[in-house]
Amino acid sequence: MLRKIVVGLLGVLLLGTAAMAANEPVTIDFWHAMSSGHQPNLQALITAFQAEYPHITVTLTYQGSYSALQGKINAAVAAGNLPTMAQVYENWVTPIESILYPIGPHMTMMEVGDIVDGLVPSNTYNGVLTTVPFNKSIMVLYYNADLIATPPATWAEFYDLAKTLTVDTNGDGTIDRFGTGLRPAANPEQFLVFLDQAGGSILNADWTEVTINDAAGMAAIQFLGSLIPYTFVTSDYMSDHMAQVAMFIDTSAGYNYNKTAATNAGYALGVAMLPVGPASQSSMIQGTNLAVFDVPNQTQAQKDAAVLLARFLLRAENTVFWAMKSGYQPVTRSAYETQAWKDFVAANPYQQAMSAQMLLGFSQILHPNYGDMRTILSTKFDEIMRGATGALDGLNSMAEEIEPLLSE
Amino acid sequence: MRSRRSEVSYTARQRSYRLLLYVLMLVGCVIMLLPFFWMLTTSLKTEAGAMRMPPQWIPAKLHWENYAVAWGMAPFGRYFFNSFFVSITSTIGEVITTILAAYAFAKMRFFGKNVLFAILLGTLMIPGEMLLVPNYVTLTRLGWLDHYEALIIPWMVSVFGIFLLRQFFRSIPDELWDAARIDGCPRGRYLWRVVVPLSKPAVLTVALFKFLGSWNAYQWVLMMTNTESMRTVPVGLATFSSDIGTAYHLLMAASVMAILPILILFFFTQKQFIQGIARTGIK
Amino acid sequence: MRTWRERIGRAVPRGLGKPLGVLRGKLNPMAVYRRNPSFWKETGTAYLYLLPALVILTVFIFYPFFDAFRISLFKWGLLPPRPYVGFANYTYIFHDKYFWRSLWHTFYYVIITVPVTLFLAILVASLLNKGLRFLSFSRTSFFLSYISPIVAIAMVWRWMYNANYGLLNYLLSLLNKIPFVHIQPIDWLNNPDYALPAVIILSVWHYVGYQAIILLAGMQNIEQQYYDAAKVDGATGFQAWRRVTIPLLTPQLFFVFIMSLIGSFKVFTEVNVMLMGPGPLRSAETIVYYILRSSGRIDGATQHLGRAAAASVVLFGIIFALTIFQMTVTQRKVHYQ
Repeated sequence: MLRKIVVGLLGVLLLGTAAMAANEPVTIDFWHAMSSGHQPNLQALITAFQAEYPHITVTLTYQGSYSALQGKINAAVAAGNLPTMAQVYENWVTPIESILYPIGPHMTMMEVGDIVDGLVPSNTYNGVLTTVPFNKSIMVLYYNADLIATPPATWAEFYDLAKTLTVDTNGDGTIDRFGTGLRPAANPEQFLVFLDQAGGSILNADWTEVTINDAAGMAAIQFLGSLIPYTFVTSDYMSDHMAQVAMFIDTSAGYNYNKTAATNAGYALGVAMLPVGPASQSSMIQGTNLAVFDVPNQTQAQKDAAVLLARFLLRAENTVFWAMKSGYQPVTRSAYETQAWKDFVAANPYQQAMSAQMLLGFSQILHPNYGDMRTILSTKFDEIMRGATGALDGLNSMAEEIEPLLSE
Repeated sequence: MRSRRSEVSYTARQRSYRLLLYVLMLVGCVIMLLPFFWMLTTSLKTEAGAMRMPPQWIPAKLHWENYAVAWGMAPFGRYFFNSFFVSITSTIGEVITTILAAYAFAKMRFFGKNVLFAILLGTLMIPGEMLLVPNYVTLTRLGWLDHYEALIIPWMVSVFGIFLLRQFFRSIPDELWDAARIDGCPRGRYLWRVVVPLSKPAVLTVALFKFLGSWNAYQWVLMMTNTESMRTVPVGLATFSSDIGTAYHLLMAASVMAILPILILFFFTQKQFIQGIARTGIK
Repeated sequence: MRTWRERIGRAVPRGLGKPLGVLRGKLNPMAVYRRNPSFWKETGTAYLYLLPALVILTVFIFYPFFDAFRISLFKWGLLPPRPYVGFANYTYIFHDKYFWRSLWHTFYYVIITVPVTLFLAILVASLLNKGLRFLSFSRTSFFLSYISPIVAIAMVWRWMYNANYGLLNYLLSLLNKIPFVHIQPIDWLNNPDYALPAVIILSVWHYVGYQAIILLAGMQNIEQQYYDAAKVDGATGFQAWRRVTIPLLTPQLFFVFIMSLIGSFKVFTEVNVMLMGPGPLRSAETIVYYILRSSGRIDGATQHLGRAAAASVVLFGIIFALTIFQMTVTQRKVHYQ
């Protein structure tokens, strides 16, 4: 009890100091990759933030796709002109963790403890909470509800359903609808989902060995290999090809786009948890975190203001607002407990699948060379699914190419 | 003496040959213009109307409002302002430096002239991509990153332009300079009051090319600007496209808007453009 | 009284006496200047005129060019330390199969695009040279593709290449009306065999007008006397074209060929905007794409600037070697009037 009082007092003290110090007008730059569908919601949050902290001005800059944003951040590191804050994927900042300004130490213990468990490891560097989650999504199963009455519950059912639903409707020799679809080049995380569900991982616990082609990896890749004849492979978003697939794994953040595309294609869209694999029913968490940069071109006042913004966005009502509008998931436990969210989930059944799946989510590993590993994964996974390499050969090449990255 | 029949058949063969040529030319023009036509008609369709197979060649209803919608979705006004400002300024700057440099190479004898000229031509072989990152670091150190200076000053020189103008200046007789010198006219004044007015077509060509190159520049602007307010039209268009996904009707509308200023400029300066290009090939 | 020269001469050790004498005599700056003052004065003026251009070129072309060589010898990540690694980057890229693949894709692109564009440009120029009507309109329509921003062009072609709703597949399907012709719609942007050809077609369309205009001017520059001589010798139109037009066009052909060759090695924007990435199975990853990917600028990649610099040095080497080779080999074949 005493501890809680002390912690609470410390928190109030911290907040008080921060509030007192923040009187000078300060402008911060926030780089993001939220496309036009999400931008109004982000802007609404920023406007509310600026209303609460009138001396802080936030300059939002849309940098394009995630890939473009990463390119900009990389270039800015070289040139010494990073923004105050940016949306970042873990592998963008692991090479530069020394210039991140840890947000955790400037949050209250309650705020830190509130973050969803599955999201904490991927934001913790050297035991310190450095970045905070922002727009997190989970991979779920989308399906054509008109064609599929009950979504598949296991890998075997998934395979059977994919096979049955791959049809050539007009008998001209080309398949008109595939049972499922994948985006290996753009989304290698789809492979990692199956890998994790089979109980495997890319590396071992202390990052000294590559374990991707162990038994679990082989099981996963062989399953995916068996799906090749029934899989539509592309780098585009699946929402551009809704009529060509009966079900597919995709991020929860794409819900609005997929729903519109499904309506245009003339069917109702169902959302379900992923089928259960040999070891678990896990799914991969994607989406970015917020990083504040500790660089000479940012003043302490700016960094403090950015921390305030990060904490603002973590507040239950704000993360719920963001999640309701965007299809991303709330990132704090208290958010899931709010009435607004509970009502939202009750009113939108698809959210139940997403929330439940989120609890079984895993994130990227924080290896400094994960970026290069991801490139290898996407290239090889693409080759496997397009039939350019055999499944096991491709898996073994992944292991071979990732091996040198362990020691670089 | 030719019989009348062979006269007629000779002309007929000639005529059908010419008809064939016209047909070929028509086919060529159609192929070259088809994408533009397609761009325009797609920009006037609705999203659903664009995604139709078989496609509508000309939409039943022309949705001009797509242009307004696209314009509103990104700060195109700012992009156009930036493009105009950067293009015009760098053109003016480039014309000045090019005239000076080309005159030096054309009419002056100086130490290291041939070596320097060879080096200049050599720069044409350097792939610009090789220089992107070192230049990025330089511009940051100069504090020009994300400012207009970064988009204008590095481009105020064109080796191509120097080459072109040098060719032209060489054709101006030396007697003119001798006469001016005797009259006590300083070199500078001679250059700007005599040579340049005589070289108007070539100078105009160099200016047009620079404007075109500057307007269409993509990679450099992409690298050297971060904020929205500094983007030019091509980069703005590319960012817009990643933003908008597959709303092709809006994307085509934005593309048409991006091409329009150049089209208008070209329409008014056709002759100079074509002549200028033609002259680059003639040694 | 000894002059300063004699005093220096005394102070200099024996062996250096003679060469130093030369230095004093021939290469003495003051003497050199006095030999031809107007030349040196003109040199001064010339460099003054060249100054703005030279300053900009030095800062933004020469300096970064040499800097790229320097960076290629270091392991240049996002943050320091950046240790000197000698030729390790070069070794890495020469062992990287993606480097060789990107070179191969680039070569494939160049080998097809350059000759095809040139050939078509010759045909177009010949056609425009026939003195047909509507010349202005035709010239403009061929030229339009060149002056448009490549970003806009790549986007409309991306739309035209769309597998389901694209214009190209629709036109292909029209061909199916011809009996015995059965063409499947091609998944241009998603099929590894067709992605690079799609880029090639776009490039040819983009550049053919520009090249044709240059060649046309060259053709129009050929003096009539050559054609008259050919006619006297009884040459047909085609023979005149082959024996008079083409040979006398070689200066422009050579020029266009070189510019086209150098330019196509640097292909990137068309690929990146139209395919939004390196293409299916990285089939359209060109050498410049590889360089920019290694720079951490695109494709969500980690920054390995040293490798990027090394690859760009190799690219420069290739372009340089090809240009020199071209100039020496074809110089002999160029006919001037």
